[in-house]
Amino acid sequence: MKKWYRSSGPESDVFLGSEAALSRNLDDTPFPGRMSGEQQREVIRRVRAAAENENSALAGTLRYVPLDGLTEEEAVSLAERRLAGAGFIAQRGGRGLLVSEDESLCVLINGENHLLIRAAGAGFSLREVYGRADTLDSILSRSLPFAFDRRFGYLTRNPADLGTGMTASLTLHLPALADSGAVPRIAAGLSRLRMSLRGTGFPAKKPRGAVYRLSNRMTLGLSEQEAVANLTGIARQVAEQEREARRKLAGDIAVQDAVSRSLGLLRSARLLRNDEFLELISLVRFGIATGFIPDLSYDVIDGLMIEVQPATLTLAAGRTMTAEERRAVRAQVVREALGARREGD
Amino acid sequence: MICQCCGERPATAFIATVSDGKLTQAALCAECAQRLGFGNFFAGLGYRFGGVLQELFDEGEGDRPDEVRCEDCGASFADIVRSGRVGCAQCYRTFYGRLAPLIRQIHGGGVHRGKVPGGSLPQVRPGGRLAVRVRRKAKPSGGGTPR
Repeated sequence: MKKWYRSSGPESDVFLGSEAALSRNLDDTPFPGRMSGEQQREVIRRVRAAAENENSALAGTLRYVPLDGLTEEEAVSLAERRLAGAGFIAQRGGRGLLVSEDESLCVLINGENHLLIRAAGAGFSLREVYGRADTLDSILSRSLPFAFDRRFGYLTRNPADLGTGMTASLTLHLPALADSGAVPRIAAGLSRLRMSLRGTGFPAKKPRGAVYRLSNRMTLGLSEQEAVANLTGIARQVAEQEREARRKLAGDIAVQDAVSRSLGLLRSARLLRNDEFLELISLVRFGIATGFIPDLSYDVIDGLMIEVQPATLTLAAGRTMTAEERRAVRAQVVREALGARREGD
Repeated sequence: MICQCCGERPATAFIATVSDGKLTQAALCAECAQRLGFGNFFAGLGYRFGGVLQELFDEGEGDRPDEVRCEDCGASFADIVRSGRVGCAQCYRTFYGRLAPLIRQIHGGGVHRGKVPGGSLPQVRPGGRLAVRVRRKAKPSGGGTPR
């Protein structure tokens, strides 16, 4: 089955993906951090039973992956594929996750909270992904007693997450705003609205590939639907600013040259570093959005941006590789995906 | 060590991060840690509460033998303030009187208006308001058949 990040969604020119994540805890068990090993195993057993019960609407849709059996590469690949954060994979004992085949639905168990119920989708599809996370949450809550208080909402380990326990986020490609230096000013304005705009990866000040994450920080005092509507409204404004900035850049011959050279390099390179790939592919993505590159689609680009990440690339190759071998395999995968002609054709 | 995020202030916290296919650690200052969601919820509130919380951050304070502990997980209020993490659902009941003002301070006094466990259908809560607003009827557009 095709992974969710290999498809394109609404407004893919700016939006790489949408995500909704719900933090939940069991009312009758200490939160992670104060649990015994036995309690950790029991939480995993109960969550799996709720998801895998043959009478459940979820039966057969989620596969369990124990974290403590994973190699570092397998664990890092989970982070590269945006299934789990670095904090979750850093301590693998007593943790696990349930994941759907297309990787658009997952439940992280015994991370910051007992459960993190997460749905993801391509493009600008926040309402749709929230709907799927909400449904998964409702099904699990039929057999799991979620900790809840009518004033504070869902009870979370960090009081900052009380209320809906929801983090809704959008992954945006903002090459033109990043180039103009406008992102810090926009981020500062959004911070006052209790929203966050920051680069993915780390350090987050100027991310490679101009990929940013916009998310809500307010969880208590407004409903999930209101939070999604607020974030949607803000995201539309940021996207319009990006498109306006792109229109200004698009007429510049130097920018057009950089886009064409980037595609040429990606289609012919024999060795490709990850940071170099991210910078070049960002320009190619900009070229598709501004019409310079008519023969490529966002699903190919966005799939590559995940699949040639170092750990994910190594896993797909099925063998350990030196750094140079990995750069060679990355270059080959990129050449084939971008339709470079084979030698002798 | 200088904070790897802002490159200005001294780092005080280390967080897990993934870089170039490897699991590694990043050094953050307190401000950046707070901004990126890795901070302690209670940090910075101490001064606004007359130093009561600040005392609990100090080593050795608040661990008196007669300190009230949560009967479910054994956490004391001092444990919660120092770690920035609540021990269990019962802690919210045990320490309600001390936690509630801090939660109101951080969250701006709001009360929960979202989903309640058990489903996503509109539900009437004790306050009497519907959890999901009813949409206003759309105006019929020129001559179309209303569905």
